[in-house]
Amino acid sequence: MDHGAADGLLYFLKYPLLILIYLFVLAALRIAWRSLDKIDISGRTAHREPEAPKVLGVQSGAVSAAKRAESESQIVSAVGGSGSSASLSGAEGVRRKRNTRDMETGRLESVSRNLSREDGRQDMKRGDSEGYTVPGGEQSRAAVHRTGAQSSVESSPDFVISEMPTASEIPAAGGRFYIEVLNSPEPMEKRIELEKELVFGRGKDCAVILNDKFVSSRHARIILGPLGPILEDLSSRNGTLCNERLLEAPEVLQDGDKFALGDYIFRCRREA
Amino acid sequence: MDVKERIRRLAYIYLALFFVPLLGVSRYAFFECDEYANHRDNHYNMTAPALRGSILDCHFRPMAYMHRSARVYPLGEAAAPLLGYYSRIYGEAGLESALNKKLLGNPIPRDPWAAYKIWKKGGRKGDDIVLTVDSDLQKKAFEALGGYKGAAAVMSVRDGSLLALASAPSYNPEEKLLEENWEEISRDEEAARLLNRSIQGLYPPGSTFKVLIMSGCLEDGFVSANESFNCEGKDLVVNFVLNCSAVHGKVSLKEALGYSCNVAFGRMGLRMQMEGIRKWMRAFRMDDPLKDVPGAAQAVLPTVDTSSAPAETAIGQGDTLVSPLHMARIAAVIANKGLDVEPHLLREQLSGSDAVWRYEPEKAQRVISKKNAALVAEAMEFTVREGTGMAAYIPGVRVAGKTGSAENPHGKVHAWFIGYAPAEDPKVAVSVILENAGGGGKFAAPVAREIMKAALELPEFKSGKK
Amino acid sequence: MRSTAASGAVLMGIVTVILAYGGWALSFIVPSGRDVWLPLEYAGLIAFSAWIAWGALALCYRNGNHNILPLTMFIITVAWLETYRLGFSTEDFSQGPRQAVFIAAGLALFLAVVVCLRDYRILEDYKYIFLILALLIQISVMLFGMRINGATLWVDIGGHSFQPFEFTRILLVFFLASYLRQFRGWLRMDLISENWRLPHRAFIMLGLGMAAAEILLVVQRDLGMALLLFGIFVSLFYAVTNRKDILALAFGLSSVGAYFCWRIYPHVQERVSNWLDPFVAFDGSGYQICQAIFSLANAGLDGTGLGLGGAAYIPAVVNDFTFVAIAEEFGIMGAGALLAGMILLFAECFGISLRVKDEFGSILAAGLVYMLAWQSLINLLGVTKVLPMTGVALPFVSAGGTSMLSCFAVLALLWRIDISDTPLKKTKRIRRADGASGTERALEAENGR
Repeated sequence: MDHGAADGLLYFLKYPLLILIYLFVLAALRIAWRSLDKIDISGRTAHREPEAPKVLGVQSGAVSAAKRAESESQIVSAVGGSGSSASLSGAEGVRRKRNTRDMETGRLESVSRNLSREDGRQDMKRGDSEGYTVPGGEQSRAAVHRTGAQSSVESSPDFVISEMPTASEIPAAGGRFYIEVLNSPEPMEKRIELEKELVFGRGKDCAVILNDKFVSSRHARIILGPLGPILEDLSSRNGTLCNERLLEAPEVLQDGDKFALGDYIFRCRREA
Repeated sequence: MDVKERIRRLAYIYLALFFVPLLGVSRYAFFECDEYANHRDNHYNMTAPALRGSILDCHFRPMAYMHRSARVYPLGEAAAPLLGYYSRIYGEAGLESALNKKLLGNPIPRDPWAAYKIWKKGGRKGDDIVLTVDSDLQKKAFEALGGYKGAAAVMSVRDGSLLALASAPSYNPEEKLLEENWEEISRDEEAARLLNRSIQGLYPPGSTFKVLIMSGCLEDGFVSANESFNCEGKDLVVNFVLNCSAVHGKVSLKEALGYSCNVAFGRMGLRMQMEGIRKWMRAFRMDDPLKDVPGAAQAVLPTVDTSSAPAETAIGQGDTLVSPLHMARIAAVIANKGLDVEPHLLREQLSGSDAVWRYEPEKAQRVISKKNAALVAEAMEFTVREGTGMAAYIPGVRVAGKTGSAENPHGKVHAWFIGYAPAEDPKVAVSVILENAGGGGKFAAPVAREIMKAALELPEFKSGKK
Repeated sequence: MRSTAASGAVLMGIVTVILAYGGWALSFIVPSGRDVWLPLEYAGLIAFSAWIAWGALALCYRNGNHNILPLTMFIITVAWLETYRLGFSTEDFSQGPRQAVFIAAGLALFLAVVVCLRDYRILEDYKYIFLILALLIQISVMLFGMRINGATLWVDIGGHSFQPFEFTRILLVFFLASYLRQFRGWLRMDLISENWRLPHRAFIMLGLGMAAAEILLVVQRDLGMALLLFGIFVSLFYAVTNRKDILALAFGLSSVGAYFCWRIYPHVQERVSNWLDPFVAFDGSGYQICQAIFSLANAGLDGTGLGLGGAAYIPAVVNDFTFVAIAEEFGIMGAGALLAGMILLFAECFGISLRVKDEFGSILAAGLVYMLAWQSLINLLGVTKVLPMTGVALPFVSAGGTSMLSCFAVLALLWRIDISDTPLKKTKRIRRADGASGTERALEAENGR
């Protein structure tokens, strides 16, 4: 019954053969591991800088200028905001990003289709460039016109400052605060300047429009107070996290504090 | 994204875990292979022993068969020396050894189609062997031996089939007990349990030999039917005194046998001389290799050639050695009116339900003439009726026989009895020896009586068919 | 491995060769009086359906993973040959053909799911529905199902008995994936918040849902599936939230639970004692695993050869122990080859999970692969006595319609997730407004430059 003791050559070879079989399976394992290794999982998150050099065939100069303009644009201007140079109103900010991208391909329709189909979540196209590329600043402005830029000013009446005691427009305690975007499911500005008040939410009239199912239409807001930015949850359905804890009451943010809404994670920073 | 990183990490672990079943398989298939391959309950081993063929008696009742991976012997001790044992550790003995090849079955075929056929048939099974032995008789014969060391051989007169071959002391052939008692069983030379004394035990025949002497003398004309002898209790033979058991006075040939007169037979022996004796031993096929009785020993013909040897040999002493089977055969010759039928033990070999071999009897050979056989038969009947063998008498049955008390260097005389019944239409021939038991008439004859009685009760004799 | 049409075609070719040779080899051991070429015919059916499925996918979805289906077919094929052969010994001559039909049906289901399920992301919307549906199905099986071997797992529909859990577990994976994704942040919080309040409802929902499912399974005596669910949960939870403390808690609780199961359920005690020393109960419950061990002892390096093994002595061999039969007849070499095939297949599947850009897709794919892989491992380890036997079937290998169909459904789902980055439309050729033509993707890419 002991096949290992079969006569002849097999008897002497039985151990080496067993080792050989083990090696064969281990080789398969190694191939498997290697194939997993090779997969690039860094993903397309907002962590990444929109990198101008990636764009082919566009003058870097113009691009970077345009892009910088965009990235520096305040997504939200608190009240009647003429923001910075590119003057893209915040309400449109995120969505325009997408539109801008589609400007490149000249296919607005596909985007709207994408939008309707995926219910607001962006279909990540493989092989595309980052999408931040803008052939030229011209087009972005054209986009503004074409899509009928709405100034967030019109919606500003919604952003009535609550009964929070302070309404000072000057950031307290020296240095300007801004919001850093650490994680977002879709590309957006990495940096949000803090003006008097920022409302985060899904609604079109929010200063920071977040396209996430789990973000309420008016989810949370940050108000500049004497001690610093104050984060307040606006009775959202899924809550706001602040430093890994659920936000119960409005809280003063320090430099480096993290807060999250849905899939979005932000960090409050102070500019030195 | 850290999520994907963790997914990948887990993926490594999952994939690596697939190597473990390979280790699990190789543990049983390679490293611990022998331990499980030779496991008691492993059905693969059963394809050797468990599908080992059975040994059946003449009525197809099993005497040895496989159950799971162990050999079962329904008769236990009663048939152990005959059947032997089958043990994983100790191998085979007895018939299990002699018939081993037949019982084992076919080797593993390499061709998958044949393999499947065999598999379908229920595995590789060895052939079954059908013996001529009757289980009931075997058991009774063994029981009849009682506590004595000895043997009994029962033969069917007409066709020579051996109906029982009992031997004592015996042992339990069941594997577990065999292992437990192995030391005792194998080393005890005095008990010699493994020996099948009925066919392998060689003893001085004692007075039972006189049947042969008488037959030979009659046939050769050294003695005539109506001759008589004068027994004075002892006789001077050349240079030693031959003692008789009693002073018989004037005895006829019949009476000489009946009372077992040493003097008479001593003289007959001297007439035959060693040459004659040896010749008649051969005539009675005592040197027959007995190929149909596996394991049987051949008789030892006397080699001593002194001038007094014939007398001694004629009364069954000297250096003659015979087995109970030989003596039963002699009785059978007389019972058969002078015809010798070859004793055989194996009847058929069955593969599944088809007989692949059957015993083909050889033609009976005439050893002595009908007339002389009748004379000896009469004398043997007289022995049981009025002579030394009265203890073998069965009410209502005419029994013929001869007693013997063989002197031997080991102690008391061996008790012998050979005979057949019923005398008018002999069916069974029996031969019994009880080692160192004492007088044949006293000790062996009753045993033979019991055995013959039981034998005549067998269905094949009662209903009249053989 | 790089997945190209060429590599896929090579693998399909190997599978075809195996099918052809195997079918021919089977013809030698067909019992007398039966059609000798039937196995080869069914092998042809399998090959035909496999090529059609693979070809359709390769043509219509150029960007898909072309290695997955061939690797799966490799495993299926080897298992099918063995299943067919075992049918001869157990006198169930329809076993092989039946399994071949299931395989073909599975391939058809695969294509159907791939075509019909356009966007897997809708699954994320129905997470609670899935959970409740799964629980309801389990409860109804428990109440109305058939009792087999002390476990109420089967439902009799139209004369066929099948195990609904094969499908409900997929629903549970949907639930888990979407739930974990949504509440990922919350689940990263402390379990008990600072004010000693109750844990966030994220934990509660998840805990209750999982506990309900597990308890149902345990009550139904299907401990193998309970273990499977636990494994999926632990893997996904760790992957998404990296909360080692919660995991420790989960392990602790389930160890306690497992201990109680062992105390309460005699058949669990049976399983454990059979795992430790099966020969004690050789005449009873340990018989199956003992026979498996004997079969393995008979295996040797190169096996006994098709048809010469004694795996038929294992009761119900084709349900869970097909691997042992394969190991016996094809030796350690064959077992190693099969395991290597599984490793490569699951590597490809994990690759899908890692490549998908969408987070939900990634988690869902990971969950599904964990499910298949962990189930395979539970079976393989149980059958080689590394773990106690749990009665879990080996995906794609074990005979049985529900198992095969549900595994193909999962595979189709994985495939769909894989190619979701490039929807079908993008490979169609279109004509753009300004006169350029080409596939959508090509045009987009063009404009991107």
